[in-house]
Amino acid sequence: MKIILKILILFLVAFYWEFFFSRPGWMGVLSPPLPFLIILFISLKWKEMTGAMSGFVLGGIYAGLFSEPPGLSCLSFTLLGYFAGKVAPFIMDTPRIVLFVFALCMILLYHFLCSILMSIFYEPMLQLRFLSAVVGGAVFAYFHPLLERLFMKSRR
Amino acid sequence: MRAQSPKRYKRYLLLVLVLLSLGALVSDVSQTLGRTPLGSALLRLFSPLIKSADFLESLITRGGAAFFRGEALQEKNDALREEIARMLLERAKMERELLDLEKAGSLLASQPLTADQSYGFLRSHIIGYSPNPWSKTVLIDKGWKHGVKREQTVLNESGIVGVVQDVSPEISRVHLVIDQRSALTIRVKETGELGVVYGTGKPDHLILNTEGLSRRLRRNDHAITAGLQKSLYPGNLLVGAVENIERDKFGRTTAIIRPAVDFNRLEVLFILQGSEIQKGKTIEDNP
Repeated sequence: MKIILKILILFLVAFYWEFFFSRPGWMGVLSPPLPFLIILFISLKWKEMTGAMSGFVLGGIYAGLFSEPPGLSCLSFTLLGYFAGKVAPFIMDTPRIVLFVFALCMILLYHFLCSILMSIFYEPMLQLRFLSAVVGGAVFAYFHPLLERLFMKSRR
Repeated sequence: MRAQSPKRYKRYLLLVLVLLSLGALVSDVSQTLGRTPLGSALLRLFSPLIKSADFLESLITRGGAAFFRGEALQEKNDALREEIARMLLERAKMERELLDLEKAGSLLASQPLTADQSYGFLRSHIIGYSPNPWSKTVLIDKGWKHGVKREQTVLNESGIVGVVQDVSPEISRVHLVIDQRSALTIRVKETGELGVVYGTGKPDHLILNTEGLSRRLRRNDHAITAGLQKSLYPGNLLVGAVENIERDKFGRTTAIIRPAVDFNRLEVLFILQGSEIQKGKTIEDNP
């Protein structure tokens, strides 16, 4: 129960971040997709199915809140959550630089997947936000050990 | 064999999730102004969070005392913007009347007029943006408590901005014309030709497809809303100007339109109250 409460608080913080930083200009360009980073954390910690399911649910909320095409975030969050859970054994307990590269690649993959889906169903587009991915990678690498500790305590 | 069944179960579950997502994506494609599932309910749920984030952001960007001192100046500025937008609407109305006089007796004149209706003006401020490039929407600080209804037209002092998509008591979401899922019927002011303008997701870029053959379209021609019956937008409001024209071997014309509105600097928006009525649709969901 405590774990679910903590996850909910994390999601609220992530959404607050999104509302606060999603502005046109530099602020928006640099702002990392925090809800997606939390899905990555969940996938690494509780493996692929939890990652996929939380990705699906959060993708639905994300779409409703930001008026994205409904399946877009659902599909990309589900697939990437599943993939992150699959590779979790190779990522856990690795130096921060590996976490940084992992999160960076996953964010770019998320942008790429969304661009592909938008190109198939709507107008052709390719939007890779490299700066946002770099900041996201740094945020993930810094906060991942802290979150690990936070969720470690609730196990006892 | 037993150890394999949870694996298979996981695969099935993943397959179901993927199929559900794809189904949602495909079902959305057919809608012009798609209703996001639970959109209004989620807006209602998150509105305190959105409003507090906006307040904190404006407090930080404008800085302490300047925030409170700047309020009066901001109010003056907003009032001026509103005046310009009202004049824009008035001009659109007069131009429409002139056109109708010129074409009296023709089929066009017999169509229900849209621009001669007087609308209520509701001023609103942007309090949130969509974070991703694949959705172009903004959140405004007015909801159904203030009289906002779904499908009301939104403009600013430069021209058409979008249409109200979801409404909650305190805040609403506006679907911008630059969104990839957006389409509006326009009339080229100089030639009178009809066409459909599509959003591309880019703030400075709209695509215009004209109906049938078009040889008369030129650069810097103005695209204005056609104001056809059941259109989401009233007639004669400026959408943008033709920037570039491409013609294929069959004579079909595709033009790039530079929007009149600067979508990177949106601040104050005006909601045309009453504009949803002339669209001839029942707004059942609005309280």
